Amino acid sequence: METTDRETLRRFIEQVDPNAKVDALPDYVHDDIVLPADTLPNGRQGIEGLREHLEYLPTVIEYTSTVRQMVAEGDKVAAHIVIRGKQIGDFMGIPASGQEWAIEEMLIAQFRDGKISQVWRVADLLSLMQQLGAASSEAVGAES
Amino acid sequence: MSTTENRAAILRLYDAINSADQERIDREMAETVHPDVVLHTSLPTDAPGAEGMKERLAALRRAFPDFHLAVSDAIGEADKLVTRNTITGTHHGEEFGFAPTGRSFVIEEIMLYRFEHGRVVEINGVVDIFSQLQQLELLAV
Repeated sequence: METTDRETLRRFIEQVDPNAKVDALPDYVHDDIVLPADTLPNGRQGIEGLREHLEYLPTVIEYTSTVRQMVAEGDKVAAHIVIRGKQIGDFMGIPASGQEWAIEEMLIAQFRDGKISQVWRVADLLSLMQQLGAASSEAVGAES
Repeated sequence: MSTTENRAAILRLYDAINSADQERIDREMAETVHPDVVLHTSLPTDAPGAEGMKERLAALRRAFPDFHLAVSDAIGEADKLVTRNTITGTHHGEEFGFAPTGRSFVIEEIMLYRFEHGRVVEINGVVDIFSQLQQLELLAV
């Protein structure tokens, strides 16, 4: 079961999500999936919230995701992901720039009957903002 | 080391960090973290390895005297352990070059520890510094 969940999550991260394959969502996630509160564009929950998310992102960024490592135990699978992309639309208040970027993300998915029931994730948005030239990085980099 | 022992070691380290007791932190760091640990945590450090990690922890304690880390989830497999943590603190000292704001934050981080011969040799993690700076009102985005 764990092997299956692991493979399901990898396919979701690398194939379904970056290609916005919304029609495939019912094969991967439960209708009542719990998403992070800051899920773009408006934090809507459930499979409809995820559908909105995957339909929104391609309007602002093009990206690919690569799973670097996975750690699985019980009903949870954690993934260390590298996301590489290009900004093509207004994104988080930043005008479209065409700027290319790469950030890391850590994600934990909880599974029930082979499908994802909840997701927790932390993406390095500060690094993204710095690469898009939107966050003043001088102060944060001052110690390094 | 089993995943159970790895988990216990990281939880002991977190407890020591929360205690703010430098002797305890030094002891748990020495026991759990390899001196040449490789850090990929998006946090600036002045030195590599365990020394840099200790300096970062000390800087956090100075900036946020009530700094606290609570484990929400721990997932272990083979030589790896992932923890999802909720971090809270109030900004009473200089951090990232910013003067104290007196404001508080609640953020999440997910850390992935790789063990070798009973000690952590690599840490990959993402800390939601973006949200932290937003909550401290230190980011103009």
